[in-house]
Amino acid sequence: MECVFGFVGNGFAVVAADTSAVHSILVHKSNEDKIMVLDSHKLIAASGESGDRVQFTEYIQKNVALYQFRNGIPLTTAAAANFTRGELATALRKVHPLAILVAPSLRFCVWFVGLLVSGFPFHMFLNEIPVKFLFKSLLIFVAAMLDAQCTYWSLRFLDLANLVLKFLIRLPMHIFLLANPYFVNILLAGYDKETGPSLYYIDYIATLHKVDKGAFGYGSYFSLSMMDRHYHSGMTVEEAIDLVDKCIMEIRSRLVVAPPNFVIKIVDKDGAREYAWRESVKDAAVASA
Amino acid sequence: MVKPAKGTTTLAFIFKEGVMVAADSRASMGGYISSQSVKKIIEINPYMLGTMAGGAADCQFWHRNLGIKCRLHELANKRRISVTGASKLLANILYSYRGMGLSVGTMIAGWDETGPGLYYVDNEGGRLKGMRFSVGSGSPYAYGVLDNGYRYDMSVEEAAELARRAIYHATFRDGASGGVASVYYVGPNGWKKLSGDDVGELHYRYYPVMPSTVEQEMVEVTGA
Repeated sequence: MECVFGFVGNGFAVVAADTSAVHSILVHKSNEDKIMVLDSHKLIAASGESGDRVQFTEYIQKNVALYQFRNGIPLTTAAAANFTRGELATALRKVHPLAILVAPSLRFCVWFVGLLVSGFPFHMFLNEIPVKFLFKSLLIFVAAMLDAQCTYWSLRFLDLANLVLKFLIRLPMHIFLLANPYFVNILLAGYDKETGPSLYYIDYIATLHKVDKGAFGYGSYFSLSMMDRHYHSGMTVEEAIDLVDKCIMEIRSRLVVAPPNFVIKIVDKDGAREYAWRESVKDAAVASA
Repeated sequence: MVKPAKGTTTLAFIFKEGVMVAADSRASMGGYISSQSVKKIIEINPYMLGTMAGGAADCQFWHRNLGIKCRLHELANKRRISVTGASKLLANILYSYRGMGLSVGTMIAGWDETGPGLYYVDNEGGRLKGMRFSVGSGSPYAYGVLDNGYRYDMSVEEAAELARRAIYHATFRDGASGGVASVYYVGPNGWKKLSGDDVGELHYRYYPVMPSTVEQEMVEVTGA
């Protein structure tokens, strides 16, 4: 639903994102800017849960600014990307300090119940000794697996739909794993004097890749193939904007929950700035009754 | 499954003269209407209002807490807090409790030095700045009426009537909304309650019963 995509051109990087703020079937706002200017030569385009998106990107922005104040020079794009990824990775596994008392006891209960079940002498109903032994060892194995499975399956189910995410994943993760991850996907575009333009693909489970082109959301199904087909390294700004428009057209015509408006931002040697808006629905300027 | 939408209808919009805030007053527990007279517009301070959608206790407590923080800000900085600041305070608090089951879908409406301000804040920590919002299970119905009748340059009476009408239409179609449609206005001198009309009475005011001619009458059959 939240479409973010971008790619690298000749001495610049361009990112585009949709601008609708949605809650289940309602569009609360269709001019929400999701591409934050991180500093003079970096852009961070984020998609994901509304609270996480704003809070996490602001946190990254303030920390990047702090580095510049402390050290007198700005971070490189690669450093900023690795910092962002590090924060996502930490949040994925870190223990919530307040819940440290509650969660272990819950986990302990699960483990204890498992142990009780396996400790129950089911095997007394069996008469043959070898079968009895095998059965008993099987039960102990089950108890050990229960604990490991809680962890494994909670993480496996991270890929389910966003709505189920909140109540069948975040809550159990919160209770059983004590993890409070940020559900945000990020494309970080930047320009460095030494290395030129670069684009980093950062997933919500802290994947990091330096890429030439990347996309997130349902829109990625359409924009990735469009970019694969028409992208070549060293595109001019005109060619790049043309490709971005092609992708937007494709998303608008083929995606069932297509967002109406997009914002395009560009970063090159002159800095990070807004390039254009592509609006098909104007917000708050509704035709009078 | 998908968590059911917060059972209420609240709306707020910015127009030329200020901010108009309106809400219904029904509290429902599943299919049972537990109250028809809940105050869903919470007075944070004399120039800022908050609306309640979701958990009543959560909204009341955190708005009260926000009021305390705003007052402390005033005392510490010798000037009133802006609507931007107040909504950010609330959003940060709610964000720190995310995943723990708070249910809050609120709008912070107020008038500060920069003019009228309206922010939507929810329990996930999301915060949106806008001109028109509606929150709750009846919000899609209210949005329809609100979007269609909205003009930036309305008078206070016209805006109040639009807000009242939108709440009425939402309570008509949504079972979890009803009771009394209260309308508040936030202007440069603070907020003022404009009206509180029972939606049942509003129905007959908008759609009065017309005496209609009888098409067919039941007549006694004579004989066999």
